Order: sequence, then C-alpha cells, then structure tokens
Amino acid sequence: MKYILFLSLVFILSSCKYGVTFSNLKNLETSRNDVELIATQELTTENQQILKKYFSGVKDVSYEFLNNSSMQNYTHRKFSRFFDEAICNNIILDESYYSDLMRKCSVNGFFICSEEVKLYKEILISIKKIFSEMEINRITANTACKDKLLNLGVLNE
Amino acid sequence: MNKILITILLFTLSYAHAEEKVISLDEVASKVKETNFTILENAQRIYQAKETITFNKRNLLPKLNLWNVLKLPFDWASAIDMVQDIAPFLVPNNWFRVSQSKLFYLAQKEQYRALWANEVMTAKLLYTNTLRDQSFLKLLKTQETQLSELIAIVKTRTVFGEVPPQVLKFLKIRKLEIEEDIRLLDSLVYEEIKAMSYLMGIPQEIDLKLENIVLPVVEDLNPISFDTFVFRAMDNAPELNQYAYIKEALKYVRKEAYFSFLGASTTSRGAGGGVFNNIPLQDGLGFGLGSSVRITRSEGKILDINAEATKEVIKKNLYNLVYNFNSYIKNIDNQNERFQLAQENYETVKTQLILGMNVDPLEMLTSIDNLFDASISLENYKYEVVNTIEKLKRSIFNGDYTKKEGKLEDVTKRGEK
Repeated sequence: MKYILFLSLVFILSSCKYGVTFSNLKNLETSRNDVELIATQELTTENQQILKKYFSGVKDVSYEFLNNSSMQNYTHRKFSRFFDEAICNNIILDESYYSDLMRKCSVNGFFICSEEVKLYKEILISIKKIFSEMEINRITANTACKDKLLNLGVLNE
Repeated sequence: MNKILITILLFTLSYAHAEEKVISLDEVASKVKETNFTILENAQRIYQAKETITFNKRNLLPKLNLWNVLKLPFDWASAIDMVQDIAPFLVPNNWFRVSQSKLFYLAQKEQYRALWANEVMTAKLLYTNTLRDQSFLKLLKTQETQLSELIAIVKTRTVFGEVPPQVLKFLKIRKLEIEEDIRLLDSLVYEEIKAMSYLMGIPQEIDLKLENIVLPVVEDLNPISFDTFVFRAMDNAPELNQYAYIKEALKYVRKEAYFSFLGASTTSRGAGGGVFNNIPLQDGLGFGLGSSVRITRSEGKILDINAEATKEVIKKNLYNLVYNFNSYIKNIDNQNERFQLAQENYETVKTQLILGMNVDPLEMLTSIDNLFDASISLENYKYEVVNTIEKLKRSIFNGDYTKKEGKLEDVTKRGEK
C-alpha cells in the first residue's frame, strides 16, 4: 500500500512539475485565435501586444522544452496525452495570416514588430527537432496540419 | 645586387600597402564586434557568466575536502558539516544559485547587447560625421578657390584704381581665415579617423580610408509616427530585458532566505550577481528571515523603479528622433531652395564680374559666403538624416543592431544545429 502511495505521489509530482509549461502550451490556442482576429486590423500598440503574447508564448514554451531533457523524456512518454492531430490547428498560425503580418510589420524599411514574429518559422523548426519521426508522423496524420507545416517551411516535401 | 634591390622594393611596396586600409560603412558593425576593445572585454565577461553556470552545476556533485575528512575520527558530529562536501545537492540553496547564475548569464548577455549596439552606433555615427567633415573640407576648399579667383580680379582692378586697396586687403584677410578653417577642419578629420581606428580595434599605425556612402534622397522619405515605433523600441530594449532577468533571479534569492535552515550556499551567483550582495541571508533559520524577505521585496521595487525610469528614457529619445526625422523631411524643400538661390546669385555676380561690369567685390564675397553656407547646410541636412535613421535603427534594433534576446537566441540556435 505504501509502495503504491509512494509511486502515485512520484507520478503526481512529476506531472505537476511540467504543468505550467503544458498549460502554457494549451493557452497558445487562445492567443493564436486572438492573432487571427487582429490579422486584418491596423498594427496598433495593443495589437502588437497580442502578437507578442502569442509569438513569445511559442518561444517560451520552446525554450522550456529544449532546455529541459527530463521534460522531453516525459513528453515522449506521455506524447499521446498532450499531442494529438488537433495540436497543429490549435496552436500553429496559418501561413496566410503569418505572411500578412510580416507585410504589416515592415514600415518604411524598418521592422516594427517583435523579433519573435520574424523568427517564428525558425522557432518551429527548432522545436520540431525534439520529436521523433514517429511522433511527427502522428501529428501530421492530419492533412490540414501537414499542409500548414509544409507551407510554413517547417516540414519538407 | 639587382635581386637585393628588387627584394627591398617589393618589401617597401608591400609594407606601404599594408599600412593603408579601406573600410565601408557596412563593415563597421562586424569590425566593431570582432575587434572593439570594450566589446572584447565584455564578451569575456559573458564567457565567465556561462562558465559560472557549469561551475555551479558541478558544484552540486560531491567533492573531496581532505581536512574535513581528517576531522572525522576525532569528532563524529562533524560528519553533519560534511554534507556540503558529500551531498551538496541536498542543499536547496545550491540549486537556487544554479538557477540564479543562468538568469545572470542571460542578463549579462543583454548588457553585452546594449553595449555592443551603443559601440556600433557610436562607430557608425563617427563614420558618417567624418565623411560629413571631409565633405565640408571640400566645400571650404571650393570657397578658397572662389575667393582666390576674386582676389586675382580685384588685384587687377586695384592697379587700375577701380577698387580701393583696403578692399583687396580685406579679401586677403578673409582668404587667410578660410585657410585657417581648412587647417582646423583637416586636423578634426584626422582625429576622427584615429578615433574610428580605435573604436574598430585597428592599430593606429594603419592609415584608415573611409568609403563614401550614398546619401538618402530626403524628398522621397515619408514621415513616421511615434506610436508605430514605440512597441518595438520597448520590446527590444536589452536594458529592460536585463531588469526582467534580474527580477526573475530575485525570486530565487527569496527562496534562498526561506530554505536557509538547510544551509547557506557559498557558490557565486555569477557575473552581475553582486547586485544582490546587500541582501542579508542567514546561515540557518533565525529571526532575521522576515527582514531578509522584506529586503528582497524592496530590492524588487528598486528594480521596478529603475525599469520604469529606463522606459521613460527610451520613450523620450524616441519622441525626439521621430520629431527630428519628420522635421528634416518637412524642411528639405527650404534647404534645396536656399542652395539653388545662393548658387544662382553667385553665378550672376560672377558673370557680371567676368564681363567687366562694375560689381562691388564685397557683394561678390557675400555671394561666395552665402553659397558656402547654403552648401554646408544642405550637406549637413543629408548627413543628419543618415544619423537620425541610424539612431532610429538602434532604438528599435533593426539593421546592424538586430540581435536576438537571450531565450530567443538559444531557441533559434538549436534549430541551426
């Protein structure tokens, strides 16, 4: 009984340990929706904040995953729990929206949005590297997701 | 003998060739990054900060302290004291120091980024200012030539008694003044080039030559607005990012205070960690805990105040830059018209003089001076626009100043591997 209790405690503690990062990953869905809503609007300071929230969110989550090997191992073990076919559509921005944003961010030869916007594709390519081929295949089983990643240049043909 | 002569000649030629270095504005940023003395020194500090993380991580592993081991047969109770040697990973404060050193490393990188940007901007502004002064020098020499022509004409007319001799003397005095101005400006350009060499870490013996730049067509530029630029200026400011990292590190200092009953950490917080040296931490749980926690809170408030002040400074600078940029665009037509009128006036008076008409030499002198002033003003205007654009790029970290913030750099670097 004690053994089971101890194991349960270890299990619960290990899940809680990465809870913040996984919850941040889930929150990206809301901020991505916000970005799509303002994609056609002017780049006011408020809208820039919305962009910053989503793109830095992607960067911060990526940073956590890339810098924490035990979290990577945990993710591989619990892959199906956190990553499914819907993850792509939920958290990744469509290429058409992204291109529109990049156009708006260039004013008079100056780039006025946050640097994370410019390096979005690079961030996605970095984070892709922590997943195994099998895991990538599971995510891209969804055709829409595959197209999205192909258009963004995260996946190669 | 011939061979020796050829060798000496080749050596002299190669030596003379090595003494001169031509540099373009585009090369300034990379040169400053590679060889600027202040930048190189700061890069070493970042290296130290990075090494401190490794040191602190390895410090969590057991270590051998022979004197503590030798104490053991005489005093078994001292085994408890050895926990810092045998199992330093059991002391939570050691872990907090690792986290702090990571954050201080990121803060140090931001500090480096600000310093690097400032040095690059200083070098680039010095480059354009040197070119501007070289251009002024050329205009002064043109003015001197124009005055020499006038003196030659007036000399002849003085011989014929058409012009009083004091007018000729007056013109000669003016020419001597211009010659002095040329000497002064030439010295200034010389000093600026030597300062450029220093900023780029180029040995002073090398004769530095600056390539010309293409000046912007100010008439084609559009006005800009503060609101469009302020977000990026704030978002990219390494000065603000630095505060954010230090404040994040402060959380671990508070944790250190709470966990002091499990022993204090002796490991360094890393480069820049000295900022928290004034926060007293007890080695063990005592009645000072409350004060320690309150001091860390107060330290957090100081950081917030400093960050707020920095934000206002950034905004103030940006407001001024945007205002100046727009005012240059607005007034460029005035400058062009002034130059055109001065040039027309000079040409008219000069033609009249050549045709032998009775022109007052002092009127001719005034037209030469007017043309010089208008040329200098227009040239200065164009270089000021270049400088303002450069300062704007520095404010919002564009062009040569584009550099990724700590976490972003880490993430994208991994993608390149």
